[in-house]
Amino acid sequence: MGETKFELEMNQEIEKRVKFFEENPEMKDQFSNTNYIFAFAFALVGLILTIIAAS
Amino acid sequence: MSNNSVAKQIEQETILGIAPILPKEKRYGFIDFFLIISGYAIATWCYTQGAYTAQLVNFKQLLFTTFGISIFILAIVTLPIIFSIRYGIDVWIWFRSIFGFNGCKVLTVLAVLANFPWYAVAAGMFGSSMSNLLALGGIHVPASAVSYLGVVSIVIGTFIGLGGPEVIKWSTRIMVPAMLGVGVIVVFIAMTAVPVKDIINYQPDLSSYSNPRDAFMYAAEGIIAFAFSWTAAMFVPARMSKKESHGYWATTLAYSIVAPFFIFAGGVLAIAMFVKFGTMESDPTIMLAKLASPGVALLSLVLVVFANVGTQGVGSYMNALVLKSSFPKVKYSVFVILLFVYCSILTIWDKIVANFGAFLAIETYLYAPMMAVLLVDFYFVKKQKFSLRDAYFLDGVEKSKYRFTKGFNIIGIICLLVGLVSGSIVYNPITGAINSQIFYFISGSGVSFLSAGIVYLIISKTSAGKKYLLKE
Repeated sequence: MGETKFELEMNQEIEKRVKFFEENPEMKDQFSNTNYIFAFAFALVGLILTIIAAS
Repeated sequence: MSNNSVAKQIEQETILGIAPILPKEKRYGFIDFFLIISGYAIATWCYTQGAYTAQLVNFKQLLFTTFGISIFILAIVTLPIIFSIRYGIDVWIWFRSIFGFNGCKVLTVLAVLANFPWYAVAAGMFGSSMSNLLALGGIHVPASAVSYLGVVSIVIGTFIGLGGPEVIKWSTRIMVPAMLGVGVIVVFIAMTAVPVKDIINYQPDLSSYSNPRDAFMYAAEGIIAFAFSWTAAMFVPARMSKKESHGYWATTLAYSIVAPFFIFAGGVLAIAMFVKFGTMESDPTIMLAKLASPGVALLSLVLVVFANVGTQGVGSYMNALVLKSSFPKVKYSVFVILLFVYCSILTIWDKIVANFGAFLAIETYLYAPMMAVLLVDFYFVKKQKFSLRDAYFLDGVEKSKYRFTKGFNIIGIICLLVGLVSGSIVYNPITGAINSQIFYFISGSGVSFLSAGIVYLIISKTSAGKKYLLKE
């Protein structure tokens, strides 16, 4: 019985949390375009280093 | 069960389970998160990888491949971590929409089985460190018992893992500076034990290779595998990161700069050993004992012991949560104990390091196509839009759009197999046979990654693919 009660409450908890995200689709601190630019620049640095190693 | 105990269990299940973490519950800022990931990453397996690489390439190639490949791969494959932070979920919840719920069950088990040999490497190193420490105190451990000593680190790490994220946060605050200290000592010892120019001018003995290019590519394949090996569990702690940019950069920098620094340090130390004694060695405790004064060696050994215990703890936590995402009804602690048993068996078996190259490549042929499909799915198929409700089957399994075919997403599974098979055709990790010239340009793992991602992208753009994947 305890496990059944726990599972029920756990599902309600997940439902509550999912609703939070459904009601707040836009989070304030989303990954910005500047971050993407830095990420790709960083990847490019890695690629250049790899090409130097292989040459 | 009382209401209080149910509430407490729910709290535990949230943090140590699969429920989405709400923004107010997140615990890690950039520094804490960076330290935790670094602490996990910089175990002594870096030295094993460094010595393996140094056997195959010269100093310049060691430096540039180690950092270059790690940065290139991780800056890209870490990008989907932002959804993990956004929704407070592990990647395996997202994977339900790519491979299906039952597909995830199979894949989580395979991913953890493929990943845990790394922990046996670290535990084996712990056994060796302890053995050397005891030898300095006049106690000589028989060679046959060293691997059993390694199990001690798994026991301590298991207790840390059972403590959950708060214990891990505090233990890594102590262990990470300790391991960073080892790295500085290692590089200093390596650079002063032999003339620096001898290290810089070092050339590996490639007499057993018909083509030096083969050796370079084996080394590159190893670094690629090392970079991909983080991916199966790297989304787990990200759930607790407060900001998307912090989580991304902390993860990327830890895995692409900090861990490679220790690979590089291990490689330099192995070269120093080769220059001075004529033999390559991957165990930092033996290298330090031979190259440093007894006092420095003793301090380093203690630090190595700390680092390996921390790695076991964080690794148990992350991999137990990976399994829990697919088997939510099983308790977190049960998985930690099962992982303890599995890792102990591998450690006592003591054959992982002897088959290091094959183990690395096999692991990557599973992880590389998974990450390729995830990247394509996140940016080009679902375009960052994801239904948590369907992923958690809140309206029932039958109504979920991620139900697919008896819990298996056939398209996702096929793409995974395409990656696995195409990589194996180009380069056979078991025999080491290179079967195509393309291996010399993008490696077997690269073929595996690209083929899986491209096939998934093409199928997803067809009307049948859209209907199946997105229910459009």
